[in-house]
Amino acid sequence: MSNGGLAQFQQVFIEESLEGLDMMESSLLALDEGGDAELVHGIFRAAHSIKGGAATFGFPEMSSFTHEAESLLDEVRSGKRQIDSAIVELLLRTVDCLRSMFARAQAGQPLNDEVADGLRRELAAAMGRGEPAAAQARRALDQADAWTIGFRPHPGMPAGGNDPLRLIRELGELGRLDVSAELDRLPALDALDPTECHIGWALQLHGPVKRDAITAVFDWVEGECDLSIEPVHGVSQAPQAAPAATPKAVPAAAAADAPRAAAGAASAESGSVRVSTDKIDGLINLVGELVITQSMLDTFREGVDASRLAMLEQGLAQLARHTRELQESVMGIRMLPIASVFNRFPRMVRDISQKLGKQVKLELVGEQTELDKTVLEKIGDPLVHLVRNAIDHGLETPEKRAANGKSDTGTLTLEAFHRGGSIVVEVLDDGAGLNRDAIVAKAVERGLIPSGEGLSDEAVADLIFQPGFSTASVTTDLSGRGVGMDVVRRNVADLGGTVVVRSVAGKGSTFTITLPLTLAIIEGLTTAVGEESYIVPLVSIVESVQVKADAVRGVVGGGELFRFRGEYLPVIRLHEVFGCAGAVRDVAEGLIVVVEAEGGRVGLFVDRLVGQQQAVVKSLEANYRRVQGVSGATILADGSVALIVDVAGLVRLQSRRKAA
Amino acid sequence: MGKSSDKAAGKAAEAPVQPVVLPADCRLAEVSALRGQLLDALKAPSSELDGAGVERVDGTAVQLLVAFCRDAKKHQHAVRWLGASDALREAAALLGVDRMLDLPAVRPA
Repeated sequence: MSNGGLAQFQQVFIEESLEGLDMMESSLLALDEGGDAELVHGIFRAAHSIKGGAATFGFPEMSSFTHEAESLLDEVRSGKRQIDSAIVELLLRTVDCLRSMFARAQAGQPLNDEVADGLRRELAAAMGRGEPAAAQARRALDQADAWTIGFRPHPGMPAGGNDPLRLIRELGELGRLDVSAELDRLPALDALDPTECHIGWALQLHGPVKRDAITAVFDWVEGECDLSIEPVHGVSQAPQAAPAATPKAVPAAAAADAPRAAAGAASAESGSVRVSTDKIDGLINLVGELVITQSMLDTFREGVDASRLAMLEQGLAQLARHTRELQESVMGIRMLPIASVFNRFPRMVRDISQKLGKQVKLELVGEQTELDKTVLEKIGDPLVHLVRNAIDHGLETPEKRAANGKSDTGTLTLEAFHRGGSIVVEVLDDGAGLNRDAIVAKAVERGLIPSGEGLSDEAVADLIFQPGFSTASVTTDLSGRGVGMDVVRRNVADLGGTVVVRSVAGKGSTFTITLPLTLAIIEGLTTAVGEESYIVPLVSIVESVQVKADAVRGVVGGGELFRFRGEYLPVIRLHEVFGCAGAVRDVAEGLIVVVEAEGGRVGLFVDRLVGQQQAVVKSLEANYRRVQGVSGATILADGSVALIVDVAGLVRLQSRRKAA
Repeated sequence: MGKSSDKAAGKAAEAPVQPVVLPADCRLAEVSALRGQLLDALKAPSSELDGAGVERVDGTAVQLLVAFCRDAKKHQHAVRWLGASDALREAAALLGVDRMLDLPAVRPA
């Protein structure tokens, strides 16, 4: 078998194993809560499959590692050993370790690290043995045809006079070098100390090189960096082979993925979707129907006489129906149950609540609700944030709960459901609720508001999403939820969604995230500006209003404001932003579309509204280049191109001007 | 209309800013000053970088440019390179960030 062929199977093996690990984790958690002993068999089987597969597909380190866990499980299974929370804990850490091993395998990095070595020793110790032979064998390899090198300089390395660039250049002199920079720890520019090093590198060195030659390069920086040097396994072929093995079946996927391919995060996301056979059968069925309709329409090639007009009409109607169904089915392929995101929370809630000494019952509702894979991948982090905050700040300690007449155990509910064309994900807790006074005090201190007087509870709750509000000092349990809420709102906004909070003092809080079902199609309002069309996403529209000429006033230093329901909103004239010729300039003749994003409102001035429509989003970046204020493009029925307005981008631009 | 509203509208259309010219010796000693210039450049809607005169460059300078380009991308701030020397392009390629920096393929004459 060629390496390419093996890589193809490796990918499938990795995906299946990750599912097995999820199963192991949830079963272990159930065991810990006094679940059925039958669960042990399931866990054992999953470990056994991973061990066998790992050996077959060229991951001997993983196989020997899993072997240790399997032996332990075997003793439990056969009744030689009682399961206790220490063993569950150890096995949970084993699951974590295997997950990160798979992540490293996908990235073509060395599989073993200190954590794995340590755990292997712990597992062996639990079995009453010393260091396993596999660890010793690993060290024996001194020469190989290719090496993977993990190189992570400590921040202070440049100050010590050592330049990572020089080291990598020296490595490049030993053989052909593939370099991949790891930017996950690189802070934003305004937080960066430029004299420190925050980038790491995953390097592949091809050529017959001795380990000693590589270590010699790093001799001078020992202690100033984290370094791993491992001979390469077959998996390094995977990145090249994978695209051919799992082609992107959905063109819309490319459109949705391209503008949102976040740097750094991409490596963690797998590029394939596992699709149920039912969905594929449905697609094949539909394509069959299309072929039938096409051949029926084909008979009109010779000419149409009036007697057959009805048949032609029927054929066209059929074509329209099947195309729509086909579109829905193809979109459906990208739809996955949210369970895959929810499943990480039982473990997380358990760990955090143990650490904080709180008792939390987690309830998951609507796990089978489906949403787009891209949305699914990006919604995890905001949810983690909200859940963490709910346990940390929302739910009280058992003592405090008892004092307030509540049960010792707090309830945290994660719920997903469909509403209209959107998916709603809610994080509910029955904790203390937001502390209005503390939030107002903090906001006044930070200069966000002059005082809390006259502010509705809603408006106060909304303050926690303000960028200035989230600082590390807002972590006391009284001061509400501060940490990174602006990031949560930003992340959700990037997906075209919104997040709001409702809270009742003493009763708890509810965070509601509303997201579009898919990123590949948006509901939009088509507006005309000059001779061009612009689509404004429906989710961000508050209202469209016609105003009198004197309602819009210019202000000192440029810019315009207009009065809308008691507040002054900035006006953005789309024809000015995008330079459209022949647009309406007189305020009274055009329309103002009030839009909202990231907690800010602006009025977009357009000529007129054309109508509401679904727009298939095409990436502008992939076909042209990024344009500020535009999130994508679409093709209208007449074949012309309409640009989709990036409302969040425009609002951000406006607030940046405000700050300037 | 209140005073605060006047301030809110702020500066409307801003004139294009001066390009940030990378120094010939673009290394550790220079990065703090360069960071200040890049932070200023980010305040405008777009910016231009000139790396044609870079003769010596190190990892910290490349890291700084990566952080700048990543932030720019995040804020949809357009970055245009007026030029990039061989030294700069070699360093970016060695450190695996050449695509991220999107340096011009050939140095303009």
